[in-house]
Amino acid sequence: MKHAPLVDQLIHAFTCLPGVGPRSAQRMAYALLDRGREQGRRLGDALHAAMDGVQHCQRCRNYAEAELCPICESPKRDASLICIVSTPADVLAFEQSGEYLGQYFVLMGELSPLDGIGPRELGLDVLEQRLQGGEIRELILATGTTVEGEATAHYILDLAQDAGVQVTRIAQGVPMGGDLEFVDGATLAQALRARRPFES
Amino acid sequence: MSRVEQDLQPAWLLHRRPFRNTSLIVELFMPALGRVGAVVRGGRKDSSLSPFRPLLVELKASGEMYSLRGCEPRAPAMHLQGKALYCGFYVNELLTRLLHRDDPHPDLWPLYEHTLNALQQGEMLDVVLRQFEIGLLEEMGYGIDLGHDIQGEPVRPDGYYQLNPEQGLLAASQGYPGSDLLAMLNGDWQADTRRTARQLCRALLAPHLGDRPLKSRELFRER
Ligand SMILES: [Zn+2]
Repeated sequence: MKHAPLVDQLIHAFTCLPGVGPRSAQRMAYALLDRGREQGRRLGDALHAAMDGVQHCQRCRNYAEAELCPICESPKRDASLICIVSTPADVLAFEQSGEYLGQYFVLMGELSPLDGIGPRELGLDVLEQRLQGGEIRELILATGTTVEGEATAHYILDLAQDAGVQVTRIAQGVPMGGDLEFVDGATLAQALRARRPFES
Repeated sequence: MSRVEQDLQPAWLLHRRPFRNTSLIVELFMPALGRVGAVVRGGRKDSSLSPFRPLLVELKASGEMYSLRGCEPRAPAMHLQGKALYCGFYVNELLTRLLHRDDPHPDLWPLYEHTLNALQQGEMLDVVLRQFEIGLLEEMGYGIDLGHDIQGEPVRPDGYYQLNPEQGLLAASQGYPGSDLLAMLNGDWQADTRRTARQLCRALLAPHLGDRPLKSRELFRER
């Protein structure tokens, strides 16, 4: 054994992080042990607290500390307008745009049967009940443009149509400040299909 | 023609999953090689590596899996939407579950391409799936004779039949109507025949799927 057992255990624990191999894990462990004991203790406390204290919001499935996340709890957010996203990171992106005042439903993935992810794994049975419940006026689909994202969008469209709820989908196309030359063909074709009248 | 172009072979991607930090493991379906697994180094962000996109790939054997050295589109992506897309996943799941890696099935290649094209047309999707299932079972040596029972007697339109998935059809007092079995054989897909075909194909596939049902069946909502 190259290290004391506790050091070994720490290095091994770091390798569970995405993108961290044995070398980086060793560097992280040394950094904390050499000159970061206090930060290391804080990291440990934060990990403990989050692992025990974070659950899924019962309305939108995003991470939450209570039954409801802050967005679902806020009286300022329009609960009849629901944006469907694949990940908590997508919620953050929408929140940073500052444009959106509705609520979310976070799938925590996309339909991918070959990976064992079906409708129930994404909480779509819960979404179906909420749609049938009648408090939702409009669904905004913001799933990805991969085949999994498309399948997910269509499945949810089906649920919403059964419940008589209006569905929109965020526009896809050329990024702001983007140079057409560097936009791939499929994106450009979609942007062309979704073109709108240009008026002053 | 450069050397790389000569090494490019047609392929369809059946499934992709992340591997390590930036890489992918892909399941490919290829005319001469059948189903193969390949590592794509740094391929995570490559959106052209997608199911239902005709590809040309260059593979290099490395250990028990291949590594994908190059990839380019062979034709525009299929445009599968809604139910047709679910059917596409279903077909890919069947191939992934039923074919062994590196077991060539050259006759399945045209059937797969025909099936995707028919799904893209979008008509009678269930019939497209039945024809794929029957062709796949036949190719793997698990096909049955729809025109005869296991005694070798011709199937009677007014008879009924039970299925023994290993051996074939047994004449019985109830079960699959002979008229539907003959209609399947003749490609006459009325509503009754389609229902019978669905049950029959499910029963034929069941022994090969074991106790793990096909996940893509969950995408088709019963109303
Ligand atoms: Zn919430």
